Amino acid sequence: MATALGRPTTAFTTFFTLLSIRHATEGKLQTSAFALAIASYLSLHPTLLLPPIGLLGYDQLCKSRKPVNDTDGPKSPMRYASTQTDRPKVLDFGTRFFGCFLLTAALLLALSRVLLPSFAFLPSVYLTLLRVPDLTPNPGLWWYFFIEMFDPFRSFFLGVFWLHMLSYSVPFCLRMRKQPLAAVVSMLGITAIFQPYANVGEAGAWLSCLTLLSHTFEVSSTHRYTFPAVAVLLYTSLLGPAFHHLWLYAGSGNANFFYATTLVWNLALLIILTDTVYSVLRDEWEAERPEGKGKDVRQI
Amino acid sequence: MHLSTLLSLPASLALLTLATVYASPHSYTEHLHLLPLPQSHLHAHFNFTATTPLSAYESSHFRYFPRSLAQILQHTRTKELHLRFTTGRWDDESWGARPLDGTREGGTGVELWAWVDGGGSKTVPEERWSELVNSLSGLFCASLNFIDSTKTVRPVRLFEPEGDHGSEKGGLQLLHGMLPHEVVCTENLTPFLKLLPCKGKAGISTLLDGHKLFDATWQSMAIDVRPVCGAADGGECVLEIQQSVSMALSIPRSMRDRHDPIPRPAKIEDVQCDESKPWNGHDTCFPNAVTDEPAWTLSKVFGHAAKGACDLERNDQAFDVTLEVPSDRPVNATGASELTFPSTTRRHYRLSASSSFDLSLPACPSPVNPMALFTPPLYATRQIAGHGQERGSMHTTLRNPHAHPLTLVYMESLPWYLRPYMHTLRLSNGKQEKLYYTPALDRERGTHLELVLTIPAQSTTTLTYDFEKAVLRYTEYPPDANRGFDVAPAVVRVLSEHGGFGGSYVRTTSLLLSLPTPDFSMPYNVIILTSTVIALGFGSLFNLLTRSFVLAEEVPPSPLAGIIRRARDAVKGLLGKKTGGDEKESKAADAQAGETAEAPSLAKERTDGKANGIANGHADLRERKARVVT
Repeated sequence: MATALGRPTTAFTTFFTLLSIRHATEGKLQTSAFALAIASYLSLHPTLLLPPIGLLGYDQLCKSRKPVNDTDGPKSPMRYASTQTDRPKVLDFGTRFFGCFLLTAALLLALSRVLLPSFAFLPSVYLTLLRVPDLTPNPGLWWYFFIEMFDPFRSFFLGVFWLHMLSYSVPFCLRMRKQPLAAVVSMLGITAIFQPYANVGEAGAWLSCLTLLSHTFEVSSTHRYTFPAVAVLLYTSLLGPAFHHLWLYAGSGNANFFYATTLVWNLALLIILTDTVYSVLRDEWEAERPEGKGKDVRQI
Repeated sequence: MHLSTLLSLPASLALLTLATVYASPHSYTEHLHLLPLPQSHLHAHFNFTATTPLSAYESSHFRYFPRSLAQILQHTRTKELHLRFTTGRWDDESWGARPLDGTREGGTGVELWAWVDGGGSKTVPEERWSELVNSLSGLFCASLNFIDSTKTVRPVRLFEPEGDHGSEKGGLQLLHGMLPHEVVCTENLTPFLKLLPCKGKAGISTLLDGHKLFDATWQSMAIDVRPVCGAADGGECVLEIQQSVSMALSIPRSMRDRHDPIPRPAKIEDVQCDESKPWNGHDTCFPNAVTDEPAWTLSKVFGHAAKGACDLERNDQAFDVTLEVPSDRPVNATGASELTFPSTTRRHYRLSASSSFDLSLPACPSPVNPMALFTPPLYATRQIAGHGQERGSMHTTLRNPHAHPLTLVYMESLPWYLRPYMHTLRLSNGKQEKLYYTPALDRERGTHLELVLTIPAQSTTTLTYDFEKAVLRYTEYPPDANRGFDVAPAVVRVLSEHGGFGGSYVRTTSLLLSLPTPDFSMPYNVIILTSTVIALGFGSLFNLLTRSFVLAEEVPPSPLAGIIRRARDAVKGLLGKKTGGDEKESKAADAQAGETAEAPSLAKERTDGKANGIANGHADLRERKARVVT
């Protein structure tokens, strides 16, 4: 619903991303890579989902090749312990997946080149996403930061912001090795919060994807800050458009009002994201140590 | 070389006895045209024309042509130059057609267009243009150097070269730039006067004073350089520079004494009341519009009389000042000789070098047959419509008052932060023949929009399109950011019916565009707040991802937890001593109850948070032991 209200063109990107996730869960890696390539061609950031979705597809392939006497089935669908020797080779899988992705991307770019007079569309489309020249207000963190940034420091902070965003993809995969779907959903959350041209549609799509991890929410020990985060989200989603109107149309508000609302919105989304990651990891740990259910834990 | 040129001059002059002025190789003329306008205004048009033969120009021998400008033109290979400094607004409705059909005026601020020798490449004319604007900026003390690629366009049909370029015409490229925000003032007038041979010290140029010129309702200073090849002088081309100052000043305002410029109301006896108004009475008066021609004197209007004359290379038929008034208006001229011509409305005067010239006209009731003013070819106005600082729309009204349809070229050069949506371009009641459109690139070039339109007779055409406003970076806002940004005026060229050369020009006013502004006091705050949010997220996720879970009782207690527990116990002990007996009883009860009594208090501590994890752990351990034992 948030996507419909926001009316961003990322609806197409989200569609292809979800298609890719779905095909990965079914083990169809070619179609998954194809859909992900289309999503990346439209907006650049689904490229970050390449490791998690690849992991997800690999795991599903492993599962699908397990013998029938595996009884772990419905209770913990994400868990498996595959020690079979007929596990598909990682390198083989990797090359096929990445190769399919690159091939599709190259095909789409070549198609664009055929329709357009030159390769000048590449900097126009992709470099604008990377260098953020247009600073229209949006519910993200980047626009006001780069409005108020002085020119000599602009490239440095652009690099820092992009490095920060890129640095989440592989660690999520490594940590949530046993639950790649959680890695995918967390990565969706990271891009929804930290991408330069954030919009309500992507955040809405991610929040609805949280239902994929609903199994972790059943245990009451896993989520800690649900009520405050959801309340803040509701509060900012009502105030955000009001302050935007007040700044640009009524002329009685300041840019700071709207900026503060975007800060709080992103903070709420971050709390939900960290809560989700905590619940996923806690659930994983509790599955290994059933006596720890409901107990207080510490992290070292 | 020079001697031969000097000797050749009188020889050529002897040959051309009755030649018209512009074909003479080295020549200089100046002329002032005065025309009273309705509503107590006066239009004064100063024209200073100097020529130099192209051969002398190329060999750097200058006589009346200003050397400083010539060197700039030679260095940048500019073949034709038109530079305008304009302030104010010409009132079409009251004053009729613009002087010289709008060919010697520009849009508000500074307007510059030039034909530059392209050398066949795309980048060379832009480099030469950049050198040209920077050099002119230094010469005229105007910030012309701000005309960079974001403000330069290449019009297609709007301008035609006025000079005779011959075979070079194909290699020339036209570049046009406008600065609507430029404030034109005395520091632009002084270099303008310095380009004249007499340097503003003799002749009609003495009348040009910054105080009066920039106080006018409308003024335009123009410099036009073009090559002219007349057929009469045997193929010798000359380079002509025309400097003109055109002004429409309000006579009562200009006649105010400079040392006492405060406007004071007229005495009530001198004011004529409109008797037809219902509230007219002895103490309420609605003044009648003044239709009488006011009395004015040239020295009062311009501040001082015209001193001397700048007569170089003139023939006896030349005249310096023309006054265009009805023949029955009495005029008193001193210090000049009047030349009689058959025309009844024009009076011509020739200044003499030894005396100062003054004109005085007494007041006169509104004339029976007033001077016919020419109807302008087109009335053009333009506004920004819409509300809010996110989007808006441009609205242009073009009115054709004549009985025949008009073909016109309408050109707009928009800044890049005004993003028009071309699919919303609508033209009502007119026909669009052609559209030339160059889209904008952020921070590189602006939008160039040129339309060829046909407007039917005696009708009004409306041109509208929507646009979106961009948010700029902190350093791109001017110091007075909330004033807004100026959008350059639209230039309209009314094509003459026979097609081809010429045409009259009408310009709209410039517009003020208000863009959304950030809070300029907050760069540091924004950086730290955003960084805080990002760091919170990164820190939490990093902790979650890199740390593993353990049960609270499996780890040794952290020293911090022990310190906090001891501090809490000490505080509780202090509070217990104050209460006295209660504490002893509770202690006894505790000792009796043993483990089960400890549990509630420990359970209370458990709710204090993780720091007491060890207490919780101990309680759990004891519970478990109890269960195991039982």
